[in-house]
Amino acid sequence: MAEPLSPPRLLPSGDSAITVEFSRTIDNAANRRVLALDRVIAAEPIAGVTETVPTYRSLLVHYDPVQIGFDALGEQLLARAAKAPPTETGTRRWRIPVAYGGEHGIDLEDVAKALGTTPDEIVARHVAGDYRVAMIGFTPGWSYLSGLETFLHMPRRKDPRLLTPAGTISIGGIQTGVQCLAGPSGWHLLGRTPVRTYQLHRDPTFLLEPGDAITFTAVDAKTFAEQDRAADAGEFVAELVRP
Amino acid sequence: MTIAEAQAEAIKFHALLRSLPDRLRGIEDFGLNVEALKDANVAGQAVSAIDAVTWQVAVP
Amino acid sequence: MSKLVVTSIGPASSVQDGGRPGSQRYGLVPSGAMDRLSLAAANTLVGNELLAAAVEIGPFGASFTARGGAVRVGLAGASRNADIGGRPVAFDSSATLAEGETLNLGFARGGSFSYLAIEHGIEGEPMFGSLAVNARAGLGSPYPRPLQSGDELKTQAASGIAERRIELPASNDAPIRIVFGPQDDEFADESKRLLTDSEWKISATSDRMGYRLEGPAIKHLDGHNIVSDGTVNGSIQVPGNGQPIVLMPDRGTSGGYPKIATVITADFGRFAQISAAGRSASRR
Repeated sequence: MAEPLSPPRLLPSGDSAITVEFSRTIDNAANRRVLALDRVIAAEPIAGVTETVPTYRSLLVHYDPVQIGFDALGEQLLARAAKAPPTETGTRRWRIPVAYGGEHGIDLEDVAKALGTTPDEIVARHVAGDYRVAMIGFTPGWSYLSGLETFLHMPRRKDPRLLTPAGTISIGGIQTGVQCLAGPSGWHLLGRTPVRTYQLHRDPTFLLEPGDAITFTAVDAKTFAEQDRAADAGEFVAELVRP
Repeated sequence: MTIAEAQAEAIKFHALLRSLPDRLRGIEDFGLNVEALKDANVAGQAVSAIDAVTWQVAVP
Repeated sequence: MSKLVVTSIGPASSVQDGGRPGSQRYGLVPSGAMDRLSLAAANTLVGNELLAAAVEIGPFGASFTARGGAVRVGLAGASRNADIGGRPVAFDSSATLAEGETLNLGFARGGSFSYLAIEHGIEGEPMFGSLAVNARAGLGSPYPRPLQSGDELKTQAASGIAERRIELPASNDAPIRIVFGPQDDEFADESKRLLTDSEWKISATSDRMGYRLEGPAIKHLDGHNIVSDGTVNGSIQVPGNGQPIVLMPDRGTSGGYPKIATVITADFGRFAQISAAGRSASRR
């Protein structure tokens, strides 16, 4: 039998949300429990819960205090967290094209230098990774992936850039990520994907879900440009390897 | 304050929102505020406001 | 078809409503009005749903002209000198602009944001059920950005019914109330007391994403980087410089600084109305 699961901590985020914290560090096991609790709540809804937001190590549960209070909700959350996580049948798997280096990934050479290797090896290692969407946050579609191999771990930049391009694929700390919109970032930019993880007027608007499995595939600049046009017209461009 | 107190305040706040239609009055018995309006040119201080630089949130 | 044409407007003015909750798991923040009570009061004055879309007007002046017919409006929130073609108009009341007339609004007094609701609502294309502007995500309707001179807010002709005023609870400037957590254990008790016992000033660089508080530095027990987790309206996060930032409706959905406390829902709108250089004390 599985060992009993240690209960998460229930932390108040004001009077209308509870942070259900499974760990204080980035921890794949904790992230699995976060996503498992999220699925259990979706399957067995709790009256008064208005929205759940999975992150690396905690599930933020928004609720309506008119309908349910902190204590009653806390009990229900603990009961659901104590259940064995549902088996992950049907994890979706995506293959995401990336144009690495050059104008698409301006930090690739510096990353290679810092890690004492070649840009080609950095790309080979990044493409070989088997990642998972640990959380989506900050701005729409910004997908934080776990599963970056230790060799590629690198501290974030001291000075974050105020503007990095839409579709940036980057590494920072022990994570890698798919950024959707142009915006600030302190991570190291390895390349760009034509995939829009968030696109208005497309169904679905958001392509990735927390928990999805991700691999990357390298494409050349010409392919990137073609796929970028197709994506602009509403195509996913990302390949759904396993629905 | 405690969560229980804050939740009680939140419930009161929601009740206040729902009570707004009951707080409508005819405009005839009104007059005082017009006087208040004339009272002055106390320009409020501004929240300068538009540009979201990046100090607010941890940048990824 | 009537419309209200924006003839002049300052920064930090946009169409806002109850926001678009439900997609924070994808990084999409709900946005919505800074001060919901005032939004609801403005809407109530003209018979709209409480959290229907209205114009959230920042601290500076603004003017609007009715075209294509009469337009009835409700005004609430931070009061201002207001007139329609020279005829004074009171806040917390409705008024009707005849075709061609202009509503002039002065600077905000005793607050930062005023709400102008339009009878029959503002026509637009809801995105995730909301017209609220979120410029970073390209969302909002009729314009996915703050309002500018020349913008047009389409609506239906004024009903011509008698004007109304609304009686709201007296405003108060009591300290803003907070609940400690979720990461108050990252701070010593004396740091927590510093938060509640100090006078804080709202920085002039505050905006719809966050209000930065200026005052004594709040020290962390163990560094200022935590693993990012979810945020709410009113989350008080403390970055490395010890100057707290209160997250507002356009916040990032996740943040990587410890959150010492959260402004309570009932006081959030009142907090949002505190103007820069105004004082804000918080208490437990």
